[in-house]
Amino acid sequence: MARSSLPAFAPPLSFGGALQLHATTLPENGLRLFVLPDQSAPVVSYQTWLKVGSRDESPGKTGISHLLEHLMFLGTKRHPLGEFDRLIELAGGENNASTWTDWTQYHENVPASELDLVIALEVDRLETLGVSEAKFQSERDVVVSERRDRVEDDVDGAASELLFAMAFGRRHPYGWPTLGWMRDIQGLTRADARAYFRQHYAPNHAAIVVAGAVEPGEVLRRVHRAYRRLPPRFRPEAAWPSLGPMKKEQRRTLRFRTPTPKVLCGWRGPGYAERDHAVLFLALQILTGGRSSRLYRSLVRERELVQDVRMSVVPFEWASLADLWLSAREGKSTEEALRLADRELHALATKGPSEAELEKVKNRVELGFLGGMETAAGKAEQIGLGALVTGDPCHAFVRLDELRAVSAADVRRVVRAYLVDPPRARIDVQPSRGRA
Amino acid sequence: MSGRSEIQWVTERGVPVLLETDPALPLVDVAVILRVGALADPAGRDGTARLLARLCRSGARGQSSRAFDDAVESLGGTWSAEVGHGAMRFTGAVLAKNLAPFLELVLGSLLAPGLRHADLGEARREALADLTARQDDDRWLAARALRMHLFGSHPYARSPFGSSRSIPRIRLADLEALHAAHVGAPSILVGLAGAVDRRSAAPILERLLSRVPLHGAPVPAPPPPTLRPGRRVLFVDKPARTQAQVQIGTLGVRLRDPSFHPLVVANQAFGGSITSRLMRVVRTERGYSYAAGSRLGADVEREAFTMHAHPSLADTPACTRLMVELLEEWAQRGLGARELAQTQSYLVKSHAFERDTALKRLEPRLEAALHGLPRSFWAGFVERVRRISVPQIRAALRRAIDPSALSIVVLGTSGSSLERDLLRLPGLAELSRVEYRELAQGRIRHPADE
Repeated sequence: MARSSLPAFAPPLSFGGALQLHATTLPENGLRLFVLPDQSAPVVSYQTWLKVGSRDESPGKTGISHLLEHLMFLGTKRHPLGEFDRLIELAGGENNASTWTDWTQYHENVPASELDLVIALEVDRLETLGVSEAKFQSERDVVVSERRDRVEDDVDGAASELLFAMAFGRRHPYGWPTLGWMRDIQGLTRADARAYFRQHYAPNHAAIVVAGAVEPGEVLRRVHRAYRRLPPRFRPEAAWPSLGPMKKEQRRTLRFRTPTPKVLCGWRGPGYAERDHAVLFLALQILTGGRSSRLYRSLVRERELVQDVRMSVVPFEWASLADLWLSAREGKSTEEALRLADRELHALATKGPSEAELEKVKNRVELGFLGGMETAAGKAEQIGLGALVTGDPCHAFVRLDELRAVSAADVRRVVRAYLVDPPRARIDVQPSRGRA
Repeated sequence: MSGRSEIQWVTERGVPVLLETDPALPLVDVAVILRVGALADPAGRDGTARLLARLCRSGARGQSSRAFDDAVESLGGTWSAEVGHGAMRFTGAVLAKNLAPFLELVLGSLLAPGLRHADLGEARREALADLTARQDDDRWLAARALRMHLFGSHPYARSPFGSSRSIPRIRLADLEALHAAHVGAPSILVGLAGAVDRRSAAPILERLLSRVPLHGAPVPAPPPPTLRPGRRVLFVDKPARTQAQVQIGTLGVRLRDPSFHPLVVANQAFGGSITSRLMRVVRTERGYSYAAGSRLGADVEREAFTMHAHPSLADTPACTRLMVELLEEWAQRGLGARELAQTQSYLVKSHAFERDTALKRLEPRLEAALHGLPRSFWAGFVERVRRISVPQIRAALRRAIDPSALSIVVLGTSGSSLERDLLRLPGLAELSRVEYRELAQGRIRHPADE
């Protein structure tokens, strides 16, 4: 292969003031590289973020993104089964991967001296992945086991899966589970995985994030040397499928072997990059973040109606889902708990939070943000998520500024717009005494 | 890495303070450990220490629990309590600028808790609801069953959570007595990690700890547990499962036992990571279970060594048999030279990740101090691991791990051939069964008690 010239980094971006983020794109194939030098520990976090997730699947083939993530650890022509993990551990590192709707992420956290090993292993599995039929089937069984653990035998997982299907529709890319429907997983073939890999696992759909005790120029030289030979592959740009408005509340009952009734509600929300997503996140903290939050205090402490109350909003690119989970205490009613929760939502939409309440949750959010930035892996994760989902690798700091600037009026507006006015999806979980 | 330091001192009242200064981020992790836990629960009142811990984070005298929660969270703080057999661990974090008022709140509540009847009533109902909610958590239920089955009438079988029978019996006087007897300078350890130095922390701690009682009776050590011979299966029946939770246990090791470090290395190779034997064979080769692993417990007395997996109901007998065979082979033959070298390399080189945050650097120091171990116990971990040999591991395994005396808990759904197939496990001495909801009562039928 002909020599190609080393690309230059763009002027560094400030990463929270104290650190600088260096970014570039390989001209040969469009691979993006982000390097965050951070000498606070002699370690490095190497993360490969691929812009492919369960939203890129099609009905009948759900779960293929996640299954492929598993297959990526099963060996290549150069490194047989188990060798990838063994070499990383021999180097004192740990590795794992995760898949969600919008992305798939692989990471290795290793001593800084082991960067070359990680680069070689990552490039190798992009180039020469090879999984036998027997290994494919065995790993598919492992994924089936994972699904049993997280969904079939888990009331939270089963309800959550149903909620997304109701809120987005079973044929919408955000409506099917990233794990895949059980029947789909069991029907996936090695040919499916190979085709999916060829379509999506290409450098122009990926970003490498390197954070830790490294020198940016040296990382660039090594990454360029290793990855420049990988060819780009082109695929149709993923487009947000049209989603009709939810006209009225959708309601389902889920019977499950669980000791007490539960209720799970979901509302469609803004995409992760939108400012309203940050406002909504803060509003949910006011409602359920910590023991002094409104719903925890009212429903768990004062009324003792529920044992658990949680709200969250997912960081999806196209649209999010905010959810409310109430798990009743024995002999108590979810109806009453939900009625009080609704009352609190209306109160927040009407009167908004007090200044003290707003300040309290901002402090809480700031603490969580700092905690997430303690390690090289934590920083790399924020860079990768920001780059892939919002287009801005420093989005975490943009979001922090947005959170700090949220006003009581913002909270009122967003709670009304996303949690009070629109209809929701609602699942009532009823304890089942039967065997199914 | 500038500005980092590691300091330890003792306050005038005799409370040790361990500090890890790291100014990289404006936050401080706070830990307070009390040397009293579930082993100090009065007879028949399991869960007392946990309820005391709950009330010790509910505000000082004259302050409502609501006001306490509000104040802690308004400072950008978190504060929670965890109770084990030998200790209560209060941990949290706070924005560095608010450290002083945060310490005032949490230490005030810990040293002079309100201990109000109303709060106890609420905490009791919360604890009972927690037990009910845990009926959804199959792994927790199996682990609970395993401890009861393995330890029988020994105090290590007790659940710090208490039971549906014991919690209603707990009185305010029990909490007051426990606090008065055990919360004093000799039982307290304080740890701080993050953007804080001794110059700023010492005056605050001196003031807040100036009235801490000088007494604090140590909790008597538990007797040595005994291992019953034979392999005994406890089947925990829970309807509508698609998979089983398999947990297998035997006695492990004392923390001060010379075998401890060799066994840490051996366990790492057996079930401590993605490349360990259990994961390799049970998951990667057979596809039985998404997760498979083992854990070496260690305490003042021999704690539990456990292994786990969650196969489908159909695969459960074969998976359980395989796990037992792997255990036998490991316990009898130990590790090969290549496997040991791989594990040592991992443990030595990965030590950098045990020290990449201030809190991670603090935690092993606190644990060593809690157990009265020399600082080198953890600080010298890497050197100890490097020196361990194949014969040392084999000797340690033969001395400590007995694969012929096992408690095997299988949580699954009866009605298929599952129980019948489990009877074919080699060396099986007994198979008993319990309905999963009985676990909440804190007692299972135990042949040794009859």
